[in-house]
Amino acid sequence: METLLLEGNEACVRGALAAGCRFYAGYPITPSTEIMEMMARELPKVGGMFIQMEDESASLGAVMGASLAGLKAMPATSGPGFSVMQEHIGFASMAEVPCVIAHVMRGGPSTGLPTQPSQADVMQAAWGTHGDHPIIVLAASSAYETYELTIKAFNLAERYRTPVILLSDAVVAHTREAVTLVQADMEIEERPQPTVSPEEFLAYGDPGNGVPPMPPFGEGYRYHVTGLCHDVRGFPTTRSDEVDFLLRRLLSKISRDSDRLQWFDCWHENSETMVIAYGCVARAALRAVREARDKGLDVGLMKLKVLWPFMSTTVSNVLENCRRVLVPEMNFGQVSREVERVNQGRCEIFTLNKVDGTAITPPEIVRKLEEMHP
Amino acid sequence: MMSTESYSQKYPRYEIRIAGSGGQGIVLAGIILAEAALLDRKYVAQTANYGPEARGGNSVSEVVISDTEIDYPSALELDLLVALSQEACDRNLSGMKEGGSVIVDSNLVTSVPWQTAACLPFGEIAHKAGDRRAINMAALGAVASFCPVISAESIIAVMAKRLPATKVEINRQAFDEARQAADNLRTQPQVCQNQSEA
Repeated sequence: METLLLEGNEACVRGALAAGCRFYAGYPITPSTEIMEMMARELPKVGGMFIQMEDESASLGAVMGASLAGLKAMPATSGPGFSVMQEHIGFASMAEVPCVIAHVMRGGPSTGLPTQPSQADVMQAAWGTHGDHPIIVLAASSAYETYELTIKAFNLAERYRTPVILLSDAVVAHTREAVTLVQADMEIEERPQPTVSPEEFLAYGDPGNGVPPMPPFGEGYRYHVTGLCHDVRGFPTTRSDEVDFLLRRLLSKISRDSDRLQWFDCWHENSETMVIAYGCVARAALRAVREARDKGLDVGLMKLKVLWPFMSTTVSNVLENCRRVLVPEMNFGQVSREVERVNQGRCEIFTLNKVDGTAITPPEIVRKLEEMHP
Repeated sequence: MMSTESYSQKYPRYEIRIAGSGGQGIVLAGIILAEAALLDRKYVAQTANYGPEARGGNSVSEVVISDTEIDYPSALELDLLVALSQEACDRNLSGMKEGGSVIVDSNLVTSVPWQTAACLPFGEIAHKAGDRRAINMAALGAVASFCPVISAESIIAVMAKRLPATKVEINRQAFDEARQAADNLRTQPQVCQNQSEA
């Protein structure tokens, strides 16, 4: 196994290539640009294809085309570019086109702070595109985690035929650390293939698990792809029974499997006070928890690696055993509100919100923990 | 339960910040140090912070080195600060650990209010070696002299790998020259000429 000094963005590319990604279409934007630059260099070496598109909308459009033709594909972007992609994220959800979108968060709104970190797009990742739709959102806190979660993001995209968003931030993206490439240990999943002839094939039926098989275009299986509500063959419909069947299947194919999407790490989990954090803040929080324990505080940490669907049951179990929770975030409280929803008034919930373009530091978290302890 | 030794005493970190302006090769210097630390079988994290400008603006790169896994990748208290502009020096002195060392370019930084400061003309050293742009590698020469946790051999090995082949010799010369000068400085009690109000 190879160990390399990689920044988060480079680790993302290594993970994507290990997962079998062979197509990248994108438009450069700080702080995600290194992903695009490295893809441009590396994809041709493994027989893949790289295209720079005219904007982020076109990028995700090209990625969906490649995916429908059978390739694992991705773009990477940041704030403003992620906003431009929203229309096509909805299309990918509706037409069930597997794809991974690496979103390296920077300060916003609008063009905001190009080179500085933020975590303000957690809600946008889930709800940026209109309509009830399935989505999976992962959050990486280190270069190694970016590598690992990029591989897993591709697996999930293929398994559930859905867009998967990998959230990173300017700190994680540009922090270099040793990454051991453990791809040999990780299972690589492929999208389900039809077992029936092209004549019998139903592109949008329910084979039992809610995820229809997906043959690549060009191999004889012909079907219709649309963003309109569609019947089991993919053709537009307004029939209420067909629309209801489609939307319930889309939502339930992921929610029925939520037990398999409980990815988190815990330190000192039965502590009186728990910190719940994700992304670069989780690193500061781990240091803060260790220093606070030195000071005699009974504190633990839960680091979230899946943000959507929110890990309600797991978080609820952690809340059951503590009295206070701190949710430090580089936004005005996008995950803390989810924690409050799950909490149902059981614990006292505290927030630490930083929005000045600099990362939350361990001393800031320690100070808040001290304030919380009477 | 309180432990007698704090977490940071039990698991010490060595923290370096290289600060200057965009275009001085600040981030590359950090990457080379980090890779050298990795060669020396240390745990290492290297971070960078810079403005949107291609040149000019503040540029900062940090390298945190430890014998154990690094939880928080940014610097908490600096053991070593390298400043290649007066502004970089002024902005970053507040992050110093007591007893830490400051290394500055003696032409670009004229006021260093810090007890242990080494002022060396890295830009001039680089220019004499053949290319003023080797100022970052000259500064690494001084880092190699001051930093006890990364070996000069590893830095040299990484320089040879990371720099363009045609530039390795010039950079190596700047590195060696500055390292020698820093070694000489370290043996003297008063290491900085133009230190003010320390």
